[in-house]
Amino acid sequence: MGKCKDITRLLSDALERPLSAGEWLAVGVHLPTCSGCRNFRKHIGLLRAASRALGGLNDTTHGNGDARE
Amino acid sequence: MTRATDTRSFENPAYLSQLRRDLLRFARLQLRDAAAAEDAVQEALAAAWTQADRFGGQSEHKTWVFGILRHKLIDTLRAKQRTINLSALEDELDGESLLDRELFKENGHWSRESKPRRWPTPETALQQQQFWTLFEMCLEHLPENIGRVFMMREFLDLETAEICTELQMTANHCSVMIYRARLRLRTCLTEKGLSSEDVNGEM
Repeated sequence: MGKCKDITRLLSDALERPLSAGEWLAVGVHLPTCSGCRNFRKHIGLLRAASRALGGLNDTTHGNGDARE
Repeated sequence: MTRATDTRSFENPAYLSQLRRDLLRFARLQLRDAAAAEDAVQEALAAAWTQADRFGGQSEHKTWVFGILRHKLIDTLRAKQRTINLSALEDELDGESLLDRELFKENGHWSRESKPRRWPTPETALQQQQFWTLFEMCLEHLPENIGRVFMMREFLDLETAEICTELQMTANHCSVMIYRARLRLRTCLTEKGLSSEDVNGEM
């Protein structure tokens, strides 16, 4: 099982680039067992939505991540 | 909220002053320089005014003006400084290991106090004035370079690869900085009191 420190980095990277199969697997195994990282993922999704709203961009479906469930 | 879909937007003083406030807030956060922000907003509004016939109404007027401002800000940033000072960057990243020790235990898992708890949903948070006050405050508290890279990505909507090239950094450095910004922002927002009222949140 991955460490939260590494998983949070991957969750952030997922908003920037497609993760590799191995990376997805690490995230997929970790998230069901960790509410802290599940919440982290929602939080960074909110940060992105807020940044875009502040800059007058209306859509929140941006990039290749899926921070929102 | 004003629904502005055509060039008559400029004849609506209430809409215009709100737009100006929103543009200024955005430019100030990005440039961290009130006078330069004022100039950029002034230029963007002037450009929008003279190019009003080019606004096709396919997007919201506000989105269109923000697009003009975004280009101005990118120009301003480019003129100001091309690269990131590497030793300043190293110092910032040193500071990050301190934060890591607060957030994570030695085994790399969340420490008990810092484990992220539930926040309001985006639909709720983005409607709250309190959220925006905290968000701005926390953005201003970001270390300089980390804040700069984060805002280039999320405010100016540049791709990570463009930012790295622009600042002459490796892709890894860039994504680390964006990660650090996110980690800091959510830690800051939590410390300042953002939380979900819903006691049935994920524990």
